[in-house]
Amino acid sequence: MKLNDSDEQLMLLYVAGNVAAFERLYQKHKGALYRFCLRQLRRKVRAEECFQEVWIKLINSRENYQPSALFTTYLYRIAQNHVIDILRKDKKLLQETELDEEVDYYDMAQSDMVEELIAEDKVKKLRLAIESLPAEQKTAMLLKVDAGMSLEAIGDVLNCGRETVKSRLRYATAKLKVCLETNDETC
Amino acid sequence: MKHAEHEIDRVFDEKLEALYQESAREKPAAHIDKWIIAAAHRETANTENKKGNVNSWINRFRLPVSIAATFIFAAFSTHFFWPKAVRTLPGTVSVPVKTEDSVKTEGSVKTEGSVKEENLLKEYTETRLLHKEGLVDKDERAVKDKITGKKKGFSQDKRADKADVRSQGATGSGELPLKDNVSGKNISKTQYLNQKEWQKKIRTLFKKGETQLAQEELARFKQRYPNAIINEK
Repeated sequence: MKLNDSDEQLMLLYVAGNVAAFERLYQKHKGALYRFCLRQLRRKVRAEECFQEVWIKLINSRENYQPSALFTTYLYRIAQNHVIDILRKDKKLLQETELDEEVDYYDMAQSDMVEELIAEDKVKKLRLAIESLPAEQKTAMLLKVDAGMSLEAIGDVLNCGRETVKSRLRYATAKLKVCLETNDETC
Repeated sequence: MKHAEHEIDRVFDEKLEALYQESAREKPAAHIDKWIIAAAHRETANTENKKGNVNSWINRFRLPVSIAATFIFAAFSTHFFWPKAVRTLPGTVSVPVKTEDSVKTEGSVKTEGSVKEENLLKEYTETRLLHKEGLVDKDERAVKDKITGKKKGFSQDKRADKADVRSQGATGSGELPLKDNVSGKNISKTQYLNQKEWQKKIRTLFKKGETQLAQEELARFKQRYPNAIINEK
């Protein structure tokens, strides 16, 4: 097996019965997926349950995998659907509107946010701020920063267009800035 | 607009994302890793087993072979165990036969029913004897009714009775109202007496002086037992 096998090739190898390929896939994506679940569900126990169930779903539905789609898209679509199911069951699905008009557009050029985030408390605040984002914006944000996905891939996972993803990221960034600037942990 | 988008990308790609990645180091527990990888191994093994089962020739032919075996078994069972239709003569009806307990007598085996019939016949013959002697038997009708009433219970077709009587060699010579007192089922048991008893009865009639009746009985006896040796004197 070549070391530079793509995720899609590894998944096809696993479908053919090669478990070593699955182990490589798992080692590659487990951290990002786990953090995605953790940020979405906020609690470690629930995140672990969700994480396990997503991988089990992937294993059980491996015969349905089509290499035309990116593996990360396939994996995170399963994860996103499962997270939504869990949140619906808990009646904690937030009904935020996609475009919050009250949020002022952030002018990035006016401040140096990176300088302010150097301190450790700023890192914690950033994490809390991300967790407090509306569900759709938070998902887009996590898929971008945790899974490192492109706008198109995020759009595939969330079943929306590239422009919608971009808009969600923009508003999420603006909201993060407001939270971090005002030191408001509840925003 | 493009400027703002570029700024967002720049911020996330360069600094903010790096900071987030630096802080985001959570990983699943080791036991979860083992559990998931074990599940992957298990599912792969199950799939291989299923494929092996599907490809085996036993599984491929199991269904058609079992269906064919079922049909063959049903056909054989029907052929050997299905009750065959009883063939009857034209104009006759097959009826269930009543099984009777057998009673051992001197030198012969008689059924309980035949003993009763014999007693009734003897009684009737004696009644007729009295009638011939001029003694009117008031109970003759009662005896007849007793006999015929017993026979009514069989609900046999009269034509069938006649046919059965003829088949036994009885001509209905007038001594016994055969169609009344016998049925097709038990005529062979009731029509004729035992050979020794019959001879004894004929001798008794001769001794009593009932020559005509005795001769009639003797004629019937000969007809029934043509090979029997009789001392006519």
